[in-house]
This record gives sequence, structure tokens and C-alpha cells, in this order.
Amino acid sequence: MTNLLFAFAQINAENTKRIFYIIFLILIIALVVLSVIGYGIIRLTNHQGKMLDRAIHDPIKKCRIIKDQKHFMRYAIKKNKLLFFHQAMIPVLIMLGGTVILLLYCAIGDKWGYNPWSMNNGFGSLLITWDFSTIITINPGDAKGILINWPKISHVPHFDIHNWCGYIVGICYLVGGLWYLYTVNGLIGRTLRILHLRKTIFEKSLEGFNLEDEPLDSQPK
Amino acid sequence: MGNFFKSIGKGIFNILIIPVFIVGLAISAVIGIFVFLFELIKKIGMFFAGKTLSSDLPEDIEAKRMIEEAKTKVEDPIPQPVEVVQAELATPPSVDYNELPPSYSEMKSISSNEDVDFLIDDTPLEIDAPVIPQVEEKEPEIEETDTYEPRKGEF
Repeated sequence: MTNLLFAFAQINAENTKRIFYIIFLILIIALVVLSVIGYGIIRLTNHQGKMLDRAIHDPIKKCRIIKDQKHFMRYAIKKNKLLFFHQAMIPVLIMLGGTVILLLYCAIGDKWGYNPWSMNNGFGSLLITWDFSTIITINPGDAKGILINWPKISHVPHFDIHNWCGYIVGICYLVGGLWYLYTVNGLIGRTLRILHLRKTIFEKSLEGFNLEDEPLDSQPK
Repeated sequence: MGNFFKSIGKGIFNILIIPVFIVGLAISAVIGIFVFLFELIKKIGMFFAGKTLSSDLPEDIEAKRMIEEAKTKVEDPIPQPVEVVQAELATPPSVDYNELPPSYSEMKSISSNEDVDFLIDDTPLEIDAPVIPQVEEKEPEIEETDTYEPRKGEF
């Protein structure tokens, strides 16, 4: 930190401006990206919450079986759990399949210390790794001041057929895990929807009602 | 300008909600595992108890039954005898004797003969229509008072 402050004091005003512009730009881009992600998550949660309406529509609106708020909460929570169970069945089975493959691989080859995410002989060998420790270079005495470089690639991805178990298990866990998180998001969305509907569907509201607009003769008998 | 600040505010709200959402997602994921296991054990129990494994709750079954009943009612409506009889009474059928079977035409041609008069049924039709109860209009009751108080201008 002291080095950084010292560097800022040493470098000329033009460079300082440039650095602040770059930092400001990066910050704005990061905020926009995060905002879009957040907006997408909220939209997705609301969309998944609306799925509950389709599941509980008939007993509530069409047949009027649900009579009070307590009954509605009991019914909707049960339905929510059942929907979650059915949705989570496939991702859980995928992850279980991955676990079974891993256990069989370890048992057959007697490799109980095998790490399927390893960078050398696991799923990690397919990933790129960057070294971020050298991206900022501070030269207080230099006219350029602070240099920002691209991060160096510390691990080049490579495919090796001998790592098949790591690849299969990694893909199973990634697909199953993301799918499971999607269903959990649905669980959250439906729970929020239940809490919202609990208040609205049994609400006796006079919002928008004007007694003068509807004379007594037009009322249903 | 107002919309611009509104969008900025929404964006900041979305950014702030991400960490809360991630924490909520993590907690829900753990709760979800327990919910899944609980439902799985329940389903296994139901399977060995010989019950159906459908995801329908009693309310859903009841709703399905009601909808099916409503559908069958729409598909096979019960004939309304009342309306038919009333229509017949409103417009009496005009009989074309030429279109009738020859045996009946012959009988009509000799209708002067008293022997075939018994064929003409003069008895009124029996109507199965529900009898509309005649509501007697009650006359307004006049309250009897012990003392007579004359109105203004009345002697």
C-alpha cells in the first residue's frame, strides 16, 4: 500500500488521469455486468415462482376447494415440496451417477486418493489457469509509472484420455450441480410466490370500487 | 432524467441483492437436500405400502373429479321435457292426412262412422312439468290502533 501511494506521488498528472479513467471504466463495466446478472436472477426467480400458479390453479380458482388461508398455506407448501422433489430428481441422479463412477474407478484401480478435479490428471487439466500476481508493475522512478499487463497463463489446457474418469465425474457434478441450483432457485421463487399469494387471494379489497358507479338495482340478487 | 436515475437505482438494487441471493441460495440448497431426502423416504414408504406414487394431493384428486363431472355434464346434457311440451302446446301440429299411413287415411275418410270415433283421443296431455306455485299476493296489513288520530285537515 505504501509502495502504491509512493508510486502515485511520483508519477505525473497525465498518467494519474489515465489510471483513474481506466479504473472508473472497469468499475462501471463491472457494475453493469453485475446489475444485468442480478436482474436476470430476479426475472428467473419470478418466472419459476409463477410455475406454482399452474400447479395449484384448479383446486383454488376453478373448483374453489381451498377455503381459507391456513388450508392454502398447507396445500401450497406441500405442492411446492413435491414439485421440488420431481424437478431435483434428474440432477440428483446425474450427481449420484458421477459418484458411482468415481467409486468404481477408485475401487477397481485401488486409487482411493484420486482427486477428480486435479490439474494434472483430473477435470482441471481441461481448464486454463492465469497468474494474476504480475499484472500490475509499479515503477516509481520511471516515466510510465504504473504498468498493467495481461495475466500470464500458468496452466495450458490439455486433453488426455487417461483422465476419462475425472472428465466424466467433473461433467456430471457440474451439470448436476448447476441443474440442482436451478431447481433450488425454483424452490425459493415458489416460496416467495406462496407468501405473496397468501395475502392477495383471500384479500377483501375495495380498491377501485365506487359505490356511486354501481346502483343497488344492478347488484346481483 | 427520472428514468435514468430509476434505472441506476434498479441496477444498484440488483447488485446489492446478489450477495443476499447467494447466501439464500446456499441455505436453500442445504434445506433442499433435506426436503429431497424426506420426500424420497416418504415415496419409498408409500411404494412398499402399495400406494400410488403420483404427486397428486387429495385436493388435486378432488379438483380432477369435479372437472371430469363438469365435462360429462356438458357432453351429455339431460333433455328438458318441460320445454318440448311447452313448445308443442304453443304451436299445435298441423296434420297432413295425405302423408299419414293409408290405413289411417281410410279411417278418416269414414270418420262419419261412429264406430271409429273412439280412435280420436280427446283426453288432455299429461305434462310432467313442475307445477309453478301460485303465490298469493297478500294484502298489506293495516295496523289497528286503539285510538284514532285524525290527520291534518281531517275531521
